[in-house]
Amino acid sequence: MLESLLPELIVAVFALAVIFIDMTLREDDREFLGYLSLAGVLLALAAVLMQTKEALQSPVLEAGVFSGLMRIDLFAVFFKVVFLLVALMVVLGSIDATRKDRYKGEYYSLVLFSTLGMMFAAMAVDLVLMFVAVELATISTFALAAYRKSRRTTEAAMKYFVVGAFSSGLIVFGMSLLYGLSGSTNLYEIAGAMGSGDLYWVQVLAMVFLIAGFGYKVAAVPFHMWAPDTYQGAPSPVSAFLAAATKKMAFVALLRIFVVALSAPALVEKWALLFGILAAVTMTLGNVVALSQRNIKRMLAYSSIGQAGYVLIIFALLASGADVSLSVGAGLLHIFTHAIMKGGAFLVVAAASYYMIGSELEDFSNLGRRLPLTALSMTVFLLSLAGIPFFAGFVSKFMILTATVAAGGWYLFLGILLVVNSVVSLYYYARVIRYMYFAGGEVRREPEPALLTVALLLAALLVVYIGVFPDSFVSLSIDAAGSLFS
Amino acid sequence: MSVTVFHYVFLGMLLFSIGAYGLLSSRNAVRMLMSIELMLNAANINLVAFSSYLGNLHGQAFAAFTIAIAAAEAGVGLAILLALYRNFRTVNLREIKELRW
Repeated sequence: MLESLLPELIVAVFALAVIFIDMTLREDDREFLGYLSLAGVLLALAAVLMQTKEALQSPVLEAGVFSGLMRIDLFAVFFKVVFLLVALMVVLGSIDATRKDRYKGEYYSLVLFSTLGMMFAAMAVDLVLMFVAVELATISTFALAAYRKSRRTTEAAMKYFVVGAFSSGLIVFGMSLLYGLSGSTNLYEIAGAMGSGDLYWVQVLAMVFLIAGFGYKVAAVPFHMWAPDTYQGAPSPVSAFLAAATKKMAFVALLRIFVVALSAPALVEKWALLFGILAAVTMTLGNVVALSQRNIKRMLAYSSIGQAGYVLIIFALLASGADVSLSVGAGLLHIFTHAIMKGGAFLVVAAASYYMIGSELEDFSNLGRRLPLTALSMTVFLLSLAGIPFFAGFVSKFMILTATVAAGGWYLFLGILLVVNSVVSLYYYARVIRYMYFAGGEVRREPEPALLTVALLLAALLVVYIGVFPDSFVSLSIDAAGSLFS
Repeated sequence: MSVTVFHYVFLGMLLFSIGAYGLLSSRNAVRMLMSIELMLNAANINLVAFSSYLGNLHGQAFAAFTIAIAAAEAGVGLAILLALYRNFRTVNLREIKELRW
């Protein structure tokens, strides 16, 4: 049983090791901690990839670890790969990006602990473990957001903290109602007790609490106002981590709770409608507001909100009777591709700030000649986010579109909205590319930070690879979605 | 009239509403922290009441974890609050607007 938790053990051991070794090192030697965390993430990634290989043979590796607290299936393993890939990018980028900062030990151990929380959240099928894991991941990121203790980062962290704690309150209250209604904290046992009885309205109430709570965490539209401020104010590698990993964790918990525990048809028709409305409003508002943003981090934050709207579409599709694996699989693939490209885009801002280049649109003028490799990977991420063919973002958006077409009816409206929004988003993504390459003026090329550039190029390569050879990734995400039900 | 589980849940909901109102209506960071504590404890009352009503201990175990997490959250929250106060010399979020809302 313990060997199936090997990836988590590795991350936990390295997170603790980073703190303790930090105490023995002198200030100038602490860069070593970055390499130590990098080794931890790589080892854990190798262990998870081994699990993936097994899970491809039999989708459910272990149905009830620790008397039914966790379930290790292809779905969980898929997300663990996503979280570790993001952690890999962030740690690799942070070695360069935090070179001038103090308190490196705290930084890396918080990143690792947060990743650990996400990995447990991916496996949790029990409300208690899910809440503890989600909180481990978010509380670590509260501290990360305030890492530089400047005016801006503390303000961003305070806003993030207030909203994050409020959403935790909503979530735990919703969970307490679920427990009272069903007498159990296990998601599969809750599923049996829901959907009928005289307390139907309390079930709907619990559902609303959970949608609002996780709505804050994924920054869906009425609950989104914290995201632009936090992503803009937080240090760029932390913004990358927040947008690419923490947000995705909320989607994992949403999928587990809603698709497994609240799967009674009488409830599905209610929440699917709510999610449909949320998705429509979220993607439209996110993309429209992004049009007017002059700050790149803020623009990326609004685009993140829009992209979360695309993923929310798949929740609406679950009431349509269309193939569930296809709908959920489309969402999973978009979560994966978005994590890579959005994480990469924020790391580009981190690379730019390494040379004291700000994050306003004008600051990125001529980045194409100043930092050619960084600008090249930014172009890849932006084109992919816009959904241009032969990039990863196109594949996952197309899959979501296919799922809406398969569902038919009014769900087609969501698909059309997705296409319209993608066209709108192309404008503000292309604007950044125009500034990077066609601004005019004289600049000289600067040596790019090595590790950060490696992280960016690897991410860009992955984005192009998924875009050109999508087949295995599409079938992987459909299988992962299927393992949620079997 | 005896006290039933509904009374406890009503108390929990009342407490949660007070916390939510306090959080949304005030801009003083200390008061917001206190409101957050109220909301988390409202859930605890629910959990413990349900646990005793249903006759199993899941709820009490959950409440113990929630208390621990509330403490961790308050710790990190107060640390951020202190850093904020050092930078701005105020804890009123209305006066803190480096970033555009």
